[in-house]
Amino acid sequence: MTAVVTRARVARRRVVMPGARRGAAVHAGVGALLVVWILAPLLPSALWSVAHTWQAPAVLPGSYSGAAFTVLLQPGTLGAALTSLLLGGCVALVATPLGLLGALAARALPGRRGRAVDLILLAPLAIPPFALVMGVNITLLRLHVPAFAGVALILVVTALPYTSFMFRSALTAYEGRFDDVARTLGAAPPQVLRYVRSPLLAAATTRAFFLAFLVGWGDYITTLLAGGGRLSTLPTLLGAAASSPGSEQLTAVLSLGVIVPPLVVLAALALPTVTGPLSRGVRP
Amino acid sequence: MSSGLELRAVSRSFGSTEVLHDVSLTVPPSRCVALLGASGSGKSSLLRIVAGLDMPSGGQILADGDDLAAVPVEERGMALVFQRALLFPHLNVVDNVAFAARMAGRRRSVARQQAMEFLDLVQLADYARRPVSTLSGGQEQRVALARALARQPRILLLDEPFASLDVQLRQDMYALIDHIRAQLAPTVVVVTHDRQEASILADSIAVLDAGRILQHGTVHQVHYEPATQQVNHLLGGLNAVPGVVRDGRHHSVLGTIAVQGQAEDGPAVLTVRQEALRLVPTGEPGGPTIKGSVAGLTSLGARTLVRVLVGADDQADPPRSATLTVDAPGRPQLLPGQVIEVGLQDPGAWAVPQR
Repeated sequence: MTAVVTRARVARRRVVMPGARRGAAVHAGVGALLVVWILAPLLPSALWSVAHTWQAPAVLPGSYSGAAFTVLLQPGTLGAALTSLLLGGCVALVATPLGLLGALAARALPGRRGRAVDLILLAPLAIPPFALVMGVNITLLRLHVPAFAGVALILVVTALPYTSFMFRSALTAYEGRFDDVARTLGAAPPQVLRYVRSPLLAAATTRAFFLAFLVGWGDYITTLLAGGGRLSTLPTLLGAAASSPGSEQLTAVLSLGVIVPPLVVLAALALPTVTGPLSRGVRP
Repeated sequence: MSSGLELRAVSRSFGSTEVLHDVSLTVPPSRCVALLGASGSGKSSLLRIVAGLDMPSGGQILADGDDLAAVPVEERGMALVFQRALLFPHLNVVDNVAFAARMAGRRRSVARQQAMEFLDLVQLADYARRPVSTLSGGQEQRVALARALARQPRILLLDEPFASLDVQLRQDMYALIDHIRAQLAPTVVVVTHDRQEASILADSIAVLDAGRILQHGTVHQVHYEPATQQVNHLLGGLNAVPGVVRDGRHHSVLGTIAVQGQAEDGPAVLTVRQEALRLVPTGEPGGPTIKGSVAGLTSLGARTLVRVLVGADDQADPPRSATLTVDAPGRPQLLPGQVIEVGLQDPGAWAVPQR
């Protein structure tokens, strides 16, 4: 009897409505198209990075070689990668808490004053980086600000709209009365911050940190102009390679060197949400 | 575990707007007081001040005689349950309930063990390991109650905790509160706009309007012996007949009706609850009745509100008629205009000074 009931349940579970099946197929198709659309621009770089010879009008390289990848292990490239890493990290470390503070201020201030803070936080998006940097580099030189610090300072301004926007969205969904509940349950303000607010804003913090890191990691114009050529990062190496004729393979390898690490980090951050429940944060 | 609460002349202003005016209230230990009022009456503001989440502009909050002015929220020994359960989404059910114990520095295993006792109290022990996102509205509110009780508060504050639940769930929650009161005897202050909920849950009701307590009394007192016309109105009283009190009797178009002995002579409104009136079959022997004609019927489902016009229906000033509403069981077979008699259950009439 139990076996019959179990079989019936299994059979019932397998019955899928035709409409639902069609919907799932459409979703899968659209998803695949999106993946292709995002990855397609990487294909030429991927091919060039292993192309020993590739002459027009051939669709694919004539011969293949991975020799160009050795450039990634050269001291100059590793040094540039480390500088990019430090730049991205510094920008993220400063812009993330500033973004949170800005978003908190924008939320706390009523009406026009709150919107004014929003406007200030988002203003750097409206200014082309080239225009932002011109003039600032001279000022930084006059003030004897070290190149790294000067570039990081400007990139923090560039990253601030992204971090503050991330926190603004998260705070819109954040229920302020969680703090009240925690306080009445005996949590002192530092405990509220650690056990309630931080875990609930953890996802937004991670996203904001990642976006700010990308601003520092991938920047070219600010590093070049404000750094006055004294800072060697992966994007500046890439720029130099791209401007030299006949260095397509080197350029492609350096491109992948800039692109792939953030993608790996992104995948590492996204995988837990795809494969399982979100991080539980700090458990009291 | 439970403490007495006293509010002395508490006021609160936001800019030039005063939302609470000299509110004084005493809640004895282990008793339940309902703050009843419409939206914007200041009842939630008052609860936040008691909890310490907001500071009063004036007055004192005392627990067991101690002034709480300098005591921060987390040290007041109170717990607050909101209309929304506000369970921490990053914690599962048992860790939500164990939160207060963890904040007090207890080990996780001890805190969870204690939390299980309170989950058991709200009959949700089987849900301990579940994420809070899988709970229904009623279950969420039960967990919120368990979480607040696990704090072992000396005063439990409930801010419209069941307003978002459907009728059946609300009845279950009332039974649960009864059970909790019988088991733990906490001091409870519940804020509600629902007079029925206030009557079911509380030992006494403080009627709040525009930031002032109009009356604080037992459930019977605020319903049948209102201090003002406004209290009568807020408690759902439908009858208010103007007239004059002389020597303990109210004189109006209804005739002369005995009211409470301590009623002051002068212009007064007769308030008589619709539940205290009954339709009297013509010719039935008994006490005095008021004769009138049926002006309208409103079905309440199992009961019917019958509006009865008494006196001459003209535009005279002062009016020579009044409408009485009678809450009658079932669906009385009456036609508009039909002459009927209304009897008054004793004691039912109460006069309040006319403002």
